[in-house]
Amino acid sequence: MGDFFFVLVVCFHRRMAASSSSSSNVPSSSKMSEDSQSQIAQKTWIMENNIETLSATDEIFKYDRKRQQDMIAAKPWEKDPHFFKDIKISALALLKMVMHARSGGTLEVMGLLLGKIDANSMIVMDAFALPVEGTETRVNAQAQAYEYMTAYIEAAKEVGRLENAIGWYHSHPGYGCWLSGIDVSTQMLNQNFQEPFVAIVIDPVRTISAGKVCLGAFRTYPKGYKPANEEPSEYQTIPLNKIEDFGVHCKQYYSLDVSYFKSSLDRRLLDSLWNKYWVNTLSSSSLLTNADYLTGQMCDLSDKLEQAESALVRNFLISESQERRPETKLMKATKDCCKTTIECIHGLMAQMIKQQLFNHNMKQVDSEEMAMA
Amino acid sequence: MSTSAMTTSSSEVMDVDDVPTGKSVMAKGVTGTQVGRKLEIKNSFELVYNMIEDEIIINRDYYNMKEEQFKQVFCDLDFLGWYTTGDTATESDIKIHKQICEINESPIFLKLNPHPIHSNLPVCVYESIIDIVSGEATMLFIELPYTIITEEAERMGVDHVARMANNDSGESSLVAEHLTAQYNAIKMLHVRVKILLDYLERSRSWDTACQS
Repeated sequence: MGDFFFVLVVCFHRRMAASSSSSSNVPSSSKMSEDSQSQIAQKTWIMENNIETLSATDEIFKYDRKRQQDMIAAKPWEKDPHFFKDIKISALALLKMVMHARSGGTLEVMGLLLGKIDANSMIVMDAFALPVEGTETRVNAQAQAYEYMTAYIEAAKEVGRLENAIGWYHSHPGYGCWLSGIDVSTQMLNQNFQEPFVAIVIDPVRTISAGKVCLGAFRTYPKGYKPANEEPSEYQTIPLNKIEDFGVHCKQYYSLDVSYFKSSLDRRLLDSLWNKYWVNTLSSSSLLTNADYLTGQMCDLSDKLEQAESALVRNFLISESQERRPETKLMKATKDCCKTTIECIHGLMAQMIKQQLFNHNMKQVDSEEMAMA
Repeated sequence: MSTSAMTTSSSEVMDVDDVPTGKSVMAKGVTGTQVGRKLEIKNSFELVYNMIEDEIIINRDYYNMKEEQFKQVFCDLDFLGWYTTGDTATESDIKIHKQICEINESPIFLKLNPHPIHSNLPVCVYESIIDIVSGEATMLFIELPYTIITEEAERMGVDHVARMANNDSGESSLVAEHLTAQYNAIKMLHVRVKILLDYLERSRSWDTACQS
């Protein structure tokens, strides 16, 4: 999924530029009076409804158009290719992305992110799905998606959602969060024409197997830029058939520190939702829901081990002095093995806990005590 | 009802609070599936309305456009009704509801209270009936029971954001990290069982008090 997207965004970019210039011609006086009227209306409403003052955490939801434009006009990212260091994602956007990625099943899905920037961090407020799904080789008609994108953002502005597109997201079902070659070129083009822009990759399958959201946010370096220090990025398992694609391109981008935020109301709602969800946590078994994924991991692992073995034999035959790359393949396979094992253990432990909790009857206790005695 | 629709609403409420749009009422459409008499709400989108002589008129063009957009991405979802924020259903809600009836014959109506008093999910779901009140056919809301359904990935997401504050501190082992969700769930079970036990104990003591 990728190169077609660039065309989309550029067209879309032009369209937006045109529409914004035309809208600025509207006489501002009528807008002003409308604004002040609406402000009064809002104030009375706030008084009538006894709205409490917003806490500091909710500040982030405000959108200051002028400030955003100033920041975008300054283009600080041009001087420093590593300018954006972290990304904040709203709970809403996160859930929307997870659900959308999950609904795609084994197909990749894609959508756009709405948000803003604040100094060195990017803030994702909302996300929406695009009518595009496919694998690397199969994608839907592009004109449709582009129309959709423009219409959606314009429609969102009508109801007071002022944020602009700040990036795109897509899913990698089952093979981890990283950028493929096509993704890298897409993101690179986007960063040339559509800054500030970020790429988010989400893995719905691993989200379930790991028990936490598996998500990565990336920005590419400009062409020819060599990262000064090679940061050891967090190791992740990548299936054998994708590993080449990962290895070739992994030095062309860096990942941002991801954090999440929620409003005080979000917090209350999420808490009360959690009050209902705990039952499902107890009643589901990750071993069952993830059987396919685990089997896949095992197959992949055995392939990797086989490769490592043959590589070892070859190295041994050629020369023993070459100790510069000590069994990297084997080490990686070990790490993968560890990860899969932990996931299995987790499933088993959950099962054991439940066994202890619900099937532990008094008779058993008695017999155990007997045995002890 | 899935959470993504719910959370949309929550952030939407934030929008109403923060952005000085000046609109004291917000209305959004909800979409989902219907099988027999069972409705499933899965998603939502904004609706635009105009104020004409203090009456709220839903913008149908905007609705049609949004509906079409939604069909492209989520083709199996239909328009089921609408939601707004506030305490309880009011007279003006009925007026809007009548307009929604033109789109869907028997729409449902959700109300989310952004300032709840208790910790339950502050959402009420209503359907409308026409009844004769003092000789006139009037539209009335009756409350519907609802349950929240969820999907594995979504639950992880909720768990992730709902308790991320707790997990930030320090390093923890990978295995332990997996166990926190289980721990939280069991803690919850414990609390619930305790409440039940407490209730039973009290009713027993009350019983004996009555007998003597």
